[in-house]
Amino acid sequence: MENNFNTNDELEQYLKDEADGHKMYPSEHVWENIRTEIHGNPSWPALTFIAIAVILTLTVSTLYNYPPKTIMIKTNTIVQKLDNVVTDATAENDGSVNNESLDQQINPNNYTAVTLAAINDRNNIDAYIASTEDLVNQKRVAIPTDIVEQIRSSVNNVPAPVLKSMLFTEGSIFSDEIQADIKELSTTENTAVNSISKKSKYENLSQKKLTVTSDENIADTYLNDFAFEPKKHGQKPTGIELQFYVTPSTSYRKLEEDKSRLNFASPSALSLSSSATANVNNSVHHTPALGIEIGAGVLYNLTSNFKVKTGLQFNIRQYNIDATQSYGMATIAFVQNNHLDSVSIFSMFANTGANGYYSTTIDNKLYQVSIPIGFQWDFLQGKKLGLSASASIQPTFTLNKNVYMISTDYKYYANGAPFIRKWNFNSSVDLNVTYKTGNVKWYFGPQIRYQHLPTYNDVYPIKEYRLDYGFKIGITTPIFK
Amino acid sequence: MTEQAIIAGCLHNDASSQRELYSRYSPKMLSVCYRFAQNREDAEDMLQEGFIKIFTQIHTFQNKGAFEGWIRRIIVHTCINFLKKYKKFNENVDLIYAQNQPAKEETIPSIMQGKQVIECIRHLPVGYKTVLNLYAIEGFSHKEIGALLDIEESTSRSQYTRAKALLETILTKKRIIDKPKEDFKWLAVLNK
Repeated sequence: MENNFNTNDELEQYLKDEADGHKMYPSEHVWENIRTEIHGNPSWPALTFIAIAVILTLTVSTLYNYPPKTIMIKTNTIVQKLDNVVTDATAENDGSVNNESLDQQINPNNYTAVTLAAINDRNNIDAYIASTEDLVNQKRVAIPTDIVEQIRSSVNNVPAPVLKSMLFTEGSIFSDEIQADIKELSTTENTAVNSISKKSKYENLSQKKLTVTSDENIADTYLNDFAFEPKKHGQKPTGIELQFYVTPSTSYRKLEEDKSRLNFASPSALSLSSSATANVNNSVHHTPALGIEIGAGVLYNLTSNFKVKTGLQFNIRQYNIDATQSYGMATIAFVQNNHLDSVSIFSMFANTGANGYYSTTIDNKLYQVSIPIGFQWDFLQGKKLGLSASASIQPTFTLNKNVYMISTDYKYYANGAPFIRKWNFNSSVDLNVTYKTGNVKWYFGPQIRYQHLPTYNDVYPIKEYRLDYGFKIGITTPIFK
Repeated sequence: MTEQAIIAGCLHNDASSQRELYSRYSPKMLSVCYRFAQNREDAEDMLQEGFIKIFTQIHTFQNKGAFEGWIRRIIVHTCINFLKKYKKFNENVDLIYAQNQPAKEETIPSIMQGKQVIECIRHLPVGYKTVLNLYAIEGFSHKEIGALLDIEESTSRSQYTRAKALLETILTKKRIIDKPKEDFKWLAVLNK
């Protein structure tokens, strides 16, 4: 390249010097485009959160739904076994076979009869245990007393038919001789059980509706004793709750200035505030304004009163700026690479201290979407009323661009679009009074929400942190299977 | 991170090294683009294209000259190609017409003198400012400019002369420079 600067042309030298000293800072999207062009699309951070939430929800719901199905199968198995025991006993006694249809087999009255048989079986088994102890004593079998007690306590927790099969099968804890003696002792009681069950079965076959008998009352008591609750189809909670809420709030902001610029400032720097010690909070006049949060979430019960939650929330947070209508250049001075630099943005609004055409109010509004992830603790629960506290962290994405920021000489307000921080972090804490109405629980209470990172990126030297005081109104309702 | 480490990282397509290189040179290079462009958006588009070329062609850097000079030359060529692509520089503005253009004082921010000069250059007609930028600031010869812009060398000279005269008028009106004296050497290039 030919060097043409040896022509001693002062204008050219002047232009070159001025041009070389000039710097401009590109928007962040330029680098994003370059990176995308070279390395491809970066993964969207929110996608990770959503994927984790979906996987977590599916896993939890799968794990939660699995046990009831198992219990259902086991319950059926027990009933079938009970039924088989009775049928076998009947067949043994009168040689008949079980020709009942499935409808008849699952008839509640049939169950009652079977249950009665089971009660008697249990009484018999108690007798077996007592006689077994006698036999052990008689035959001088050296079984320690504590083992016998253990067996007794275990036996009390085992359903009668199961216990029966345990006692009279190969590999039983009792010897063949003892089993034979036990069978002999129980002959009378067996006959009684079989006759009752047989009678009940024929009664079921002959009449559709049975009046409540004293036997059935006994059976119900038995069911209650063993905490068998009648199954209510479609009413069993899944442990997952849906929540909807709205929180009107007032937004305050705190401004902090990065004073590091002063270390690099020369006396002629026009872009700094007139007083190095001036507090930005005293130089502006901002007033809080009403904002709102609207959200929906999913809660999962870890315990009866402790829940984890996540969801999606839309936020509007705003405050008012007192300004004057005036045109000028808002200058932002900042330090980058140990060098004081500045950018200028055209402005239509001046600070209240400046001369303007007329005073006005600017609405400094943020539209945000966030994903709250946190917990809820229902630490006091009455029949209707209760107290609840919850907290969450909220990755937050800012949607809008038309926000206003003060220039670093505190003279003008400029559009802060080039400096706005897209992703931010908030945290929220609330304390609620809860009130139950049916399946719906209402929440009312105060809430505080704090923005952890400044509204603008690190280039802008005045750090703005927002704080919202709100009143939360929400409902939660459980999801039933 | 040293310049050599950044270059080595970029040769391995390392994103953090590329980001470092971008952070270090993009402010100056955007200023270069801005002088050629019509507006900031065009300047950022030029910068984007330029840095993509830099990252994809960095293996062609021979370590023989200054790395910044190599980057700058790629950026300038990208700017010229951008102007050609969108047919923005093929203007032949009459000097008298240009001289009669009012200096739009209200559109030039009075913040810093350097920025005023840049804004004055940017307010020149596209053909003028392109030649002026290439010759006076980037150090290209008229022969190189002719080849780069597909124009005659003599055309480049005449464009430059007119551009400089117009810029001088604007700067004087803005009181950024004093009115040149009769024996001032600024117009010496006219006799070349």
